[in-house]
Amino acid sequence: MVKEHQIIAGNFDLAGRASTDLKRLLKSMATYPRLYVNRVCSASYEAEINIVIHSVGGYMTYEVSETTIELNFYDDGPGISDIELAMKKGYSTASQIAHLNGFGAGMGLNNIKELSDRLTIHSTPRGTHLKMIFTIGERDA
Amino acid sequence: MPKLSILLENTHYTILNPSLEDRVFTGVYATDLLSTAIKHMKPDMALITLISTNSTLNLAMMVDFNIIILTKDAEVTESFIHKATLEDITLVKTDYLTHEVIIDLVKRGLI
Repeated sequence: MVKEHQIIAGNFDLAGRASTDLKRLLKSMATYPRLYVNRVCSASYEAEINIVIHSVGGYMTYEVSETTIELNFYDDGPGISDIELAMKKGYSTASQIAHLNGFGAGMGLNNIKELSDRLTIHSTPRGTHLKMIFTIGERDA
Repeated sequence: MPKLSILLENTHYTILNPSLEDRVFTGVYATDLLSTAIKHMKPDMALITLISTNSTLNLAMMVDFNIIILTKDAEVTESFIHKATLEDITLVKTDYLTHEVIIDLVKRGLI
């Protein structure tokens, strides 16, 4: 099953729509452990918020299979100039509005890395692609 | 596990969207940085926070908790309460500051 959601830059009212839809789907399937679903959706929400805060907009796709879930987040720039620096806890370029919404503390990418089983990031000034793979493991029991 | 009804016995707490059933929580996590909540909260805990935006409700849905304790100075809108009700999330407003909530819960043996 593959589905796509648009993510609008700067819109905190609509932020979370994609991840909420994913959560509802996974819960309704009643196939996966609760902690696994929470892990996938929490990483999804962080990535979604990152697009809202830092990009000019983008979209996410998810692919759900019996054994793995794959999430892909794409945006149209301006890209991450230094991925290694962006992965460091506490490093942030977020705006005041992000802080007012409880985000922008420089933990997002780090959280995503810890929550996912495999994370790849490709970024250029024309856009960023995050790919996350989740497999059910011991931490989900 | 601590019950919401026991939390509400202290008049410093007011429930903003009462539901018919009582609720329990397995512990509390206090933060105004929602990314730390994503990282550290476990399902069925209660969140203590000042942040009363859609982000807080989305977080509750992702992490699977259904009690949010909003501390002193948190501004709560009708649309926020409405959305919380739709998502079956209980909102509790208090005039305590964050650390005062925690002190109260410890003193009453709720955590």
